[in-house]
Parts: sequence; structure tokens; C-alpha cells
Amino acid sequence: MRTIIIPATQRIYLEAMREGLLEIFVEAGAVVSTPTCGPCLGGHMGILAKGERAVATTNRNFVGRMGHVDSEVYLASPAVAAASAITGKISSPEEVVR
Amino acid sequence: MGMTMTQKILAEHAGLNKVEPGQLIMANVDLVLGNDITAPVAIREFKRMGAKRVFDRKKVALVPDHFTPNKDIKSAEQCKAMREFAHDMEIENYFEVGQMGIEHALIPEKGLVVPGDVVIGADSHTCTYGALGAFSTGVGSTDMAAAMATGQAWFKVPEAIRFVLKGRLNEWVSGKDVILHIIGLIGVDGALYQSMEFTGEGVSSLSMDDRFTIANMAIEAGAKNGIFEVDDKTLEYVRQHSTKEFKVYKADEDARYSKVFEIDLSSIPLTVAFPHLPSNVKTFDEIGDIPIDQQWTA
Repeated sequence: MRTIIIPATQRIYLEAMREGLLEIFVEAGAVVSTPTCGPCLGGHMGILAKGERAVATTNRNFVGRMGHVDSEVYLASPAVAAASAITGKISSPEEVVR
Repeated sequence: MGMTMTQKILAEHAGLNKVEPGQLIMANVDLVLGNDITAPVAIREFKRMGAKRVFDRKKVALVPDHFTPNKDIKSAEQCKAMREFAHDMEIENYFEVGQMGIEHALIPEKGLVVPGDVVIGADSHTCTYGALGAFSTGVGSTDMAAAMATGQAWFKVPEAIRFVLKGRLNEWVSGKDVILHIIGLIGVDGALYQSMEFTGEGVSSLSMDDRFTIANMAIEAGAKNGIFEVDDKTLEYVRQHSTKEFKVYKADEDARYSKVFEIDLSSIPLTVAFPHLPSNVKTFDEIGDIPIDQQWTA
């Protein structure tokens, strides 16, 4: 499971750093990226290969949107994305908090 | 017959007392936005028009956020074209790597949009700023070019669908679930060329992040724009982020809507959009085991 965290702005990046969130993410095996729209449109930083599946907090899941035409994008909230990163399958936050 | 929020904002920016759905108008814009994919095309067209200066160097925003730090030579060249144009035109709101962020998070954070504004951006998700009670919509690069030169853009006045929100969201449920739920309800063309106007007592319980997320995906229902009624939370956000003057518009009591939906926020479950459409929504009682390779959150 690859987990990519993208703070949307430098200010949000700093807030996440000060709150200690970035440390939690890195220790959990996630990567923290520079702010970018890159993967949302299959541009760079997290393109999907054939047959791969991603949960994304972005806004489009059209065919090939984030990479190969045979990849799949599931759109969800940050809470669902975080829970799914922990379990490796699409999961509700209630499943991991319980 | 009264006007919707969007119609009132457009009328005032076109110098008209009244506009009707379907009417073509020329309106003054308060902000013109472009990114490293769309702005280079707009800059080329701007020069081809023979334009020499932007209409207002404070009302153009350029954000290199798609392929930066430059991912390859082509993106490096595009960013360079944008950087040089920003320098030549003394664009106040050019955000270099180090300052830049995802444009639709950055522009509100920098206080560049306030209630009542008309904003166009050469990016389809420019509709995000409707969260602040502004009219905000995506355009093509040529529209961006013309607006940078003239400070104006033409619009066909949209009809509106009204979403009356009530109640409060349950634990873990957020703006993303609300908009996916709504798109599941009306479809990816459910609001084609219309405004999605969000009102009702339920709005006050939504955070600004929830509202930005909801307005951001208005285009995913085919909408021209999404727009939220301004409340105390909006005003607090604006005061914290901006020193620009603003005007709050409210829909007339007798404004006409093509449809009205009443949405009880407490009835919205955690919602996931399956491939390959934002309207293909499922809730956790339908999902089952779907293993994933990557998750991505911004």
C-alpha cells in the first residue's frame, strides 16, 4: 500500500508539521509531497499502472484520469482515504477507530 | 420575478438592474486565474490579440501548480513563459514554487476572492470559490486571454437549482460525502449549465472546508457554478484572510429555480464514488472488500 499525502498549500504544510501530523504520516510509511495537482490529472507524482486501484480525495475518476486506462479511481473523503490506507481496502473510519 | 444569488451578482457586474436566464451579458471580472497548463496558451493568445498590458495587475493570478517543481523540459518551458509574463506585466499575484499551492486552496487562503466577486479561471474547478458567496467559474484559455486584456468576460446567465440544507452531518461525514451524495442523486449532467445554490439552516453547520469541497465539485454535476449563501462563518473566514471590500448578495424571495431539493445532512452516509464517474456512488453497506494499491489525499 502506497500512501501519498499532499498538503494543498505551504501554509497547510506548515500547520500539519506543527501539529505533528507529518511525523505521524512518515512514521506510518506515507510520503508527503510538495503541493501539486499532479496526480489528480495523471500528470506526475503517483500515476497508476494498468490494473491498479487508488482511493483519492480528488474530484474526478474518469477512465484513465490518474494513469493507465485500465486503472481505477475511487473518490472519497479524507477520513475514508485515511482509514483505507490503514486497512488496505476501502474502509470506513469506524472500522479502524473501533 | 426575482433573481437568484448568481443572477444578482452577474447583473451588478454587467451594470444591469435585472438579468434573465439565457441572457447574454458582458460582465466585469474581479479576478482572472490561470495555471501552468492553461496560462501559457492564454499568454500566447493575449499577445496575438495585440494586447500590451493586463487590465489590472492586481486582478490576475498565476499559479504554477500542476507540473511543478518542473517535471520535465516541456513543463519547465511552460512555467518559464508564465514567469516571464508575470514579471513583464508586474502581476502581483504570481506564486513561485515555494509560495505556490493547489490553486483552489491557495486563492481563498490568500484572500483573493471575497463574497460577491465574479471570478473566472482557466481551470474547470474554479467553481470552488462559490463557497465564499462569489460567482466563480471555469473558462477556456482564450477567454482568460481576453479577460486579462479587457477585464471582462461574456456569460449566458444560468438558471439555478436550489439545495435547501437542513440538519447536521453525522460523525466522520464531511463535505466530500455531501457532494458525492448529491451528484449520485442528480447525475453528472444533473445541473448542466445551471447554478447550484446552497442555502438553508444546515449550511451554518458546514465548515468552510466542507463548503469549498462541495463547491469544487459543482462542475462534476455539469454546473456553471456552485454558490453558498454567506453566513457568519463565511464572514469570519473573509476577515481572517482578506482586506478586499466585498458585498453580500442574497437570492430574492421570489427567485425562480428550475428545481428545489431539500437535503437532510443527517441522512447522508459516508459515500464513495466508484469508477468511472463521480455519480457512481456507493455507501458502505454496498461496498464489500475492495483492496487498493494507492491512496492519495490532499
